[in-house]
Amino acid sequence: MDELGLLDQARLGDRRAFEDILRPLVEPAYRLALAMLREREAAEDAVQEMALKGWRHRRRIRPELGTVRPWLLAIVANECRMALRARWWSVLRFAEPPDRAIAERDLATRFDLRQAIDRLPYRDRLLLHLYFVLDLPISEVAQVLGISAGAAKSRLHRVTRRMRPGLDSVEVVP
Amino acid sequence: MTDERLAVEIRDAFDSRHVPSPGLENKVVSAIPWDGPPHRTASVPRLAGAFAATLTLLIVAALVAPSFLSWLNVQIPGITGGPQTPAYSLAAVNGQSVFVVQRGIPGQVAGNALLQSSDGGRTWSDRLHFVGVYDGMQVFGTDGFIWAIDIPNYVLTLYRTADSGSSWTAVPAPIFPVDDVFFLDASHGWVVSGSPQTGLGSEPLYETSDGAATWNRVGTLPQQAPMSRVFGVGTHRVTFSRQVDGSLRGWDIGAAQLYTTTDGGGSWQPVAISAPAAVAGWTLTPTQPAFSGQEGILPIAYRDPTGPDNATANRIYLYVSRDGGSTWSDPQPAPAGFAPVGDIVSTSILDSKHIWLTSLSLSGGDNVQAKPAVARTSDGGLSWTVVRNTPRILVMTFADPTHGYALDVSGPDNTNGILRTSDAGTTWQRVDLSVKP
Repeated sequence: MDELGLLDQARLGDRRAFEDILRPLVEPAYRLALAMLREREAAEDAVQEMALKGWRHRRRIRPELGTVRPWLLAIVANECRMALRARWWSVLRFAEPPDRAIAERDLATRFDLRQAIDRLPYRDRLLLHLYFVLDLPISEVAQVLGISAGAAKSRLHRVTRRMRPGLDSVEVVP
Repeated sequence: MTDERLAVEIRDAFDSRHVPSPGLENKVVSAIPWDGPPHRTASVPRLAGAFAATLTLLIVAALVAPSFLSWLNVQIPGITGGPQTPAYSLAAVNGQSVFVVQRGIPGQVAGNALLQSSDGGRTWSDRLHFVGVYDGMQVFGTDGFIWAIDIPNYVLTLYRTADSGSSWTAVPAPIFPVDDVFFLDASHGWVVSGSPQTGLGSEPLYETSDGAATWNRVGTLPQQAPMSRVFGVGTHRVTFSRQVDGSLRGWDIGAAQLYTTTDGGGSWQPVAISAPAAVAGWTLTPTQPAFSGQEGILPIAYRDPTGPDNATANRIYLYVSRDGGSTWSDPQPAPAGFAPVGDIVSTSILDSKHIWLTSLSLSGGDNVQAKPAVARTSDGGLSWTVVRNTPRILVMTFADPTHGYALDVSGPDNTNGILRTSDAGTTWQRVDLSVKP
């Protein structure tokens, strides 16, 4: 069965079709959740919620779009944001320690970059992860963020420029 | 740096923290309730009609439900009981009253319940039910506010009381998305506007001087976002304090810098904080200062960026101000063992002299270390009393130097609970939240 057929069947409640669509998205969803939450258990919970909500709301699948990836990743992104906000303790949180195995020469650059990423607002870290780590096309990044492709593109330019003041911008691949 | 190089480095930066989760795919798939019916999706015209009807019902329910349920002493299904262990937030302590929020769990437990006890936690009254992700509560004598933020649209749901928490009235929400809320008193408050959909670098700050009836934009925040955890229950990115001459000074937590404003939020300047020699060159994480008149306390956490991430490598210092926050000096170190283990330190500041700390390790989720402790000072950090083997306390709030409440976790499932102390935190007694008057 082709992708469109799978989506159609999943929308109609075909368990196997939904499973086939879901399985390849579990790993990228977990990567995204872990990058946002930095806690394995919380990230696993977010992915589980994605699967539960995806199945419960399967009627929202739109086969004509050809993919459910942005929709499901948007569920994960919302779950992460909610998890961060719903913390019930009052804490200070440190950035993760640097990886000591990194060679001395690269340490400063990489540490700077990681710190720069840490200091970005949630929405910008999400944007970078979707585009650079999950390799989503800008149109899907925009769908996950709930903004237009043009806005996603321009935000990507601005985020990368902010992280590296000396850098002109990044060429965004549509 | 080329585009390709930057892309690789960004990917590496994220990947360097990746922790595999073997078997997750099968676990996720096997947990899906395949036989459950799908949620219905309504057509647009039907949706409009349904929306209007639902809105009417919600308004009626919001007006009637809390007092009606309280009168009947009825629990909303899902709020208590059932397979989910209730999660709590220690919302506020105000004189003889303590407020606890029994939190809803999005997708699992509907809504939050605000519980109030005025007899030291012996009996509890069910005061308010509200939806959204509970975010905070502040009380000022007989007045107070409680609020939730709806995800993903960042809609603020705000209630206020004028009778010490007995009854609550919904306050019309601002039309812009809200990311952070703080009230200085019953009239003055600030919100940071923002959501994942908001543009970059222009997080506007709004102010109210009429108890949240109207909001006016007063400026934008410095472009240095804090760690995400600043946004959470009982925490604030932006706060304001009142000076002895009646003027206001504001505080904004950046990722590694505290900012201040003296013009109501129109402009912000970095706060000068000189690191003690022992932590020179370390990265710092600021928190919000607390004031008693002109005297202020500012906890700052330091971490050695090249050292191991453990208790011996991290430090927390309490800075003192005697001029309402214009200058900060005399950093006093927290006692040994109260540096952040991994990333967590919890502080409770009653006034510039009385401060409590808890030390916990929450790495890898909610795995709290076996032997937690509480430290307290009554002289602004010059000397400390440490109580070891306490309950696993996450956060404390004190009504006076001896009486306070705490939120803890216990058992293998890290069950939430509320504790009270009458001896400044030396001993703790568990409070039963199920007893209704």
